[in-house]
Amino acid sequence: MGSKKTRSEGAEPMSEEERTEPGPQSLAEGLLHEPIPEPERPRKWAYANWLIALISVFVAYHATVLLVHNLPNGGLSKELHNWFNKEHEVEILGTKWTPNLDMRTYMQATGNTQSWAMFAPNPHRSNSFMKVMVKDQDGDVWDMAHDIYGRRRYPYLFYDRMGKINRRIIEQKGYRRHYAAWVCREWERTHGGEPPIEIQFVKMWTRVPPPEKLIAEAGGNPFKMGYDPMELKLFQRDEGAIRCRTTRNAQLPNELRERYGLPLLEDESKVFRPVVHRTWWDKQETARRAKERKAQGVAGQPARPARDGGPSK
Amino acid sequence: MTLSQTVLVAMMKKETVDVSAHIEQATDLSLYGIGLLFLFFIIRPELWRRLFFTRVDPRPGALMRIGFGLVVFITFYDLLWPMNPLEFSVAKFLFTDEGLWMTDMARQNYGGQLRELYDPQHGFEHWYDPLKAMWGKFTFLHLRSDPPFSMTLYIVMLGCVVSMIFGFRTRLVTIVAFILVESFYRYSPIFYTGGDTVVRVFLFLGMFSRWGEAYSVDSWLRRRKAVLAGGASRVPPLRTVPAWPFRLMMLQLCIIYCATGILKSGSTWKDGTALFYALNLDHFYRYPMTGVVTAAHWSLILPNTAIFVRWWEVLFPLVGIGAALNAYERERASGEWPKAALWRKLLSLGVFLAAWAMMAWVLGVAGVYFLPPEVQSHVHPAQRQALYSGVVMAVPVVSIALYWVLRLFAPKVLTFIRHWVLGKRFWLFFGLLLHIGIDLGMNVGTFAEVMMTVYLCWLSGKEIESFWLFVYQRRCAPGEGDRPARSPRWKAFLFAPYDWFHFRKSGPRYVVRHNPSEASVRRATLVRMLDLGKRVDFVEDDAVPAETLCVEHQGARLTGNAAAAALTRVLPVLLWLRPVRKLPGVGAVARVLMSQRA
Repeated sequence: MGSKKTRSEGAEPMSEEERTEPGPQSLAEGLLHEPIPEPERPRKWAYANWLIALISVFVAYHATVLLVHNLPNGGLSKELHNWFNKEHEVEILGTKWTPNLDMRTYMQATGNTQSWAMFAPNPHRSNSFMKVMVKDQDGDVWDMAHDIYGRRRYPYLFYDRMGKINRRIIEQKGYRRHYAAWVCREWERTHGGEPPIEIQFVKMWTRVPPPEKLIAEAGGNPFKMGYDPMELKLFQRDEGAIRCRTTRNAQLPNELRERYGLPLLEDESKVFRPVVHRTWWDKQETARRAKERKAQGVAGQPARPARDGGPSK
Repeated sequence: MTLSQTVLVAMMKKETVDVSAHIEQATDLSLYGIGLLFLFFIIRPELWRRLFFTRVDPRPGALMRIGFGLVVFITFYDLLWPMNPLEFSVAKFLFTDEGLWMTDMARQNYGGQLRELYDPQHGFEHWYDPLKAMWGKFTFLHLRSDPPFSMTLYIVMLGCVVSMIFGFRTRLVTIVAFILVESFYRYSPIFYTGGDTVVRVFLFLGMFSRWGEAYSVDSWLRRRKAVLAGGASRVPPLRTVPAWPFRLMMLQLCIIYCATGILKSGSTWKDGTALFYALNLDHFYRYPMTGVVTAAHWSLILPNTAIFVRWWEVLFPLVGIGAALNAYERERASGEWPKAALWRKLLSLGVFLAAWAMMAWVLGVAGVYFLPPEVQSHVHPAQRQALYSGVVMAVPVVSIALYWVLRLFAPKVLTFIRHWVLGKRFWLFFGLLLHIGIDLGMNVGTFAEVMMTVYLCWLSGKEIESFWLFVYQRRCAPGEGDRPARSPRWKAFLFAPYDWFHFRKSGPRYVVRHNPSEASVRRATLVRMLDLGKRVDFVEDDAVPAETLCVEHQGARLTGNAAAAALTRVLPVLLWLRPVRKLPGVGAVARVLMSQRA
């Protein structure tokens, strides 16, 4: 069997008996033996000069706003933030321009809004949980088990977004109304379309004992250190209630009732509380009405028109 | 704490300090400083071009695409499952009108301009209004978010991410993936974690990077065509890619670490109890380990780590300076560093120092306002600003002077500083350990994973090549090759990681025997293109039928599907088939993936 050997780079050297170098023009030599050309050499520039200039503008802008965006938004850099967000009047060759670097919008539009305050300025020193309870039409109160206190299974392998949201409604009160609205709708969905009265929030927390205390309690013996998280004193505080009847989007509209196979509302407008929008159409209508009123000299017209199939806003 | 760090921390505190006396000057000087930095690059355009517009090896970016894409996929795939208290998927809860937010409410709260531009009954006023809406917080889901619509988009998004991982139509699917991923993130921010923010900012930059030029279906098809149909006489090299998106990624990573380090300004990070508390939070720990954590605190492991971590984060941008210096020294030695006339060098240095002086002035003033009184009490009020500004100003002057002194009189010390104190091997390796440690002790979503994958943008093609060689090599036994047989036993134990890492040998060879015909040589070349660990030899053999895959390994001679199955051990692209290689059909799959006819 006549065989001719070639070898890839980086391999162990062949013995003299094995080595049968193919000719320099051989295809096998070029494809299977010669080193694969390095992609980096020789160096080339990425684009033509005009394109480099164009992309440079973007690179410079992005890098600058990235740095400024990550500076503190107050103190001495407050005006710097403002400068990157406001219009500037400039005159070039007699023409006035009002360029705006529009940093905030750029960061939002490109998904670059960022904050890196993780465990900052300090990690929490207490474990906080929000107990979510529903008061039904009979006046009974149900714990919906939305908090993780004593409920989490270990090892904790898959990230619990619902736990994150439970913390969010503690830290940012603005979310509670929306969360409660969902709980109202969800209760309605799972209870044949019957809405609850209200959603009650109770904040619970335990304090992580300071390390010095634990070390002192163990007498400095590392094998006796530690504590049982469920033995820590549980503090509780009422964080108020949100009524399902009066909160916006806290009722199932007919569109959702239809999807869930629930009985439809006879007069949806009396039950469902939609979001109040003020869109271009509303503004246009307001302006038109005002114009009409002015033309007719009639006072006392409603400020905003009623929409078809919806309540007046 | 450095002066600048203290000042930045203080500026972030919510206490209102009246800075109106200096805010105008500070703003003006900051802007002049930024302007002077641009002027620096106008005087030295070759440096700007070298920094951003050189072409670089595509392999680091490609590997990053795969790792990063996997993390994005896992992040969103995870949301497809229900989680207490939900009976349905978290994605349905977060992104549909049957979940937390009904469409109108989500638009009202997070729709930006769309609130006004879109009327639910009358649509948009003008044809161009959708374009206006896009320049802001636009998402399709603010127009419609019923489950069929949202979940269809969700599946398309996951498909694009998978396609991005495989590198099929990479540029297109990366752009679509960004748009769709953003669409879901923008519906409502209630569920965001730090990892999600990292995903967003790096996926944005990923759109501009040509990270599909290696380890991708696109690249494979292009090179395969060149070999099989294009008449190539050498293995087609990988195409280099523009550096600027990766440089912006490096800048972004520096900002993330520096910002998070600076923001860790609380007392727990100073006294070292931060990690004790973080690891004992019920919401995060993988398993309640209060005893181990307390003992680790008692033994000073945690306090020292906490303090070190914070400083490592604050000072992380030093690795960027290190990367620049190492490139300068390397290319200066090889004669590739861009040349400039002396006057331009001096002028640019002056401009840089002027820009720094502006910043020093601002930081000096900020120090007067924000440094704690106990620190300031040591300095007379009349001298404070000058002293603080002087200290900041001295940093580059002293650093540049020290650099040249070391370069002239102690080059070995400088090399050590460049490679270790400022080198990637220290900063990135510690970062890996940090994130692995975080991930083992705590569950903070995919933050640790995504941060580790974006490290890849710092590596060079050579480093990636070395990685593959390392993976496909074997460690030498004590006394084998150059590896010393250390004694006593404690010494062998102590040096074991170093020896394992340093003393390696090539693993058993796999020999591909191919027919001498041109078609067969070209088919064999395809195998070579996949042999990243350099474990395959190629031998012409008249006895092998044309265009037939034949592999010889440890005395066994295999052909066709069996040969392909054997190669799953040494070809990374087939590694995932290795555990199931003996199942019927797997060899055929491997063979087809290598584009081997028989």
